[in-house]
Amino acid sequence: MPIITNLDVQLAKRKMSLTELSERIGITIANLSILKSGKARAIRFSTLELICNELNCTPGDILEYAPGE
Amino acid sequence: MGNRQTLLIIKSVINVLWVLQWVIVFSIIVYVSFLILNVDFFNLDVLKGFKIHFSKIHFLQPILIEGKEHIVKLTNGEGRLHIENFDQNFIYMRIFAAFIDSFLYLLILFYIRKIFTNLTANQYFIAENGVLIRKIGFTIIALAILPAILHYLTDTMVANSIQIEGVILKNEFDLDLQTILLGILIFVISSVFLRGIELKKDQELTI
Repeated sequence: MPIITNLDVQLAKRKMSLTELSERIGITIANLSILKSGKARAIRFSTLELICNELNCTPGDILEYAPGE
Repeated sequence: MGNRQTLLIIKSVINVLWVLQWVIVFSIIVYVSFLILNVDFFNLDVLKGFKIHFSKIHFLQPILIEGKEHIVKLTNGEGRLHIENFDQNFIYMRIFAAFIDSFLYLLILFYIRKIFTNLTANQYFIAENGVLIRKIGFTIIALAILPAILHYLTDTMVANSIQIEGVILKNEFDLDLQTILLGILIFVISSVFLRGIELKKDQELTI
């Protein structure tokens, strides 16, 4: 899929673990792992809002369009 | 009675049918062996009769009704024709059709058994079940078409090969439309089922 997630990059920049983000936004680690590994097929606006709010970033920082991927 | 108990009962019935179907296939093999070996201890002429359709049978002798002689005939019917000491090569084609029939039934039972194994393991909405249901649909369509074609070919051979005075044999193509529609319906259901599984996966992978 040409849409890739940069959640791991954003977490690394902030030196935050997936577990910590999970606890802060109230989404299970299993679901965040699916998002981080790129296996997710869709993401809700509400989830995106929670992540952006917590990491203080925009959806464009988390999602990237890479043709040919 | 719980859902699981019902499943187990149906599974037991399917298992019995499975064994019976194997017995039928085995019987066909034994029967063909008897035919090929031409054994004497088993009167195969009784079994060698084949189904015929007729449009007209004239009774050669007039029949006496209330003291008067009448010419009598039978029209548009079907029955089994038996000819003693007659080498019927068509019988092999009929057996082949029966073998195909039994094999397809066996295949359907095999698929159903696999589905029930998944169901008893609490695996309901998995792609394998959808694919198996689709295969059952295809096999049912084959079951309606393949033996019918073989029967039609045999009937044509019989109708063209045997000349009986006063009897007009005809061949009919008995296509079982109801079974074909059932197969198509199962195919449609399997497509809906597979799409449902896809949607379920989408739902699961939506964060």
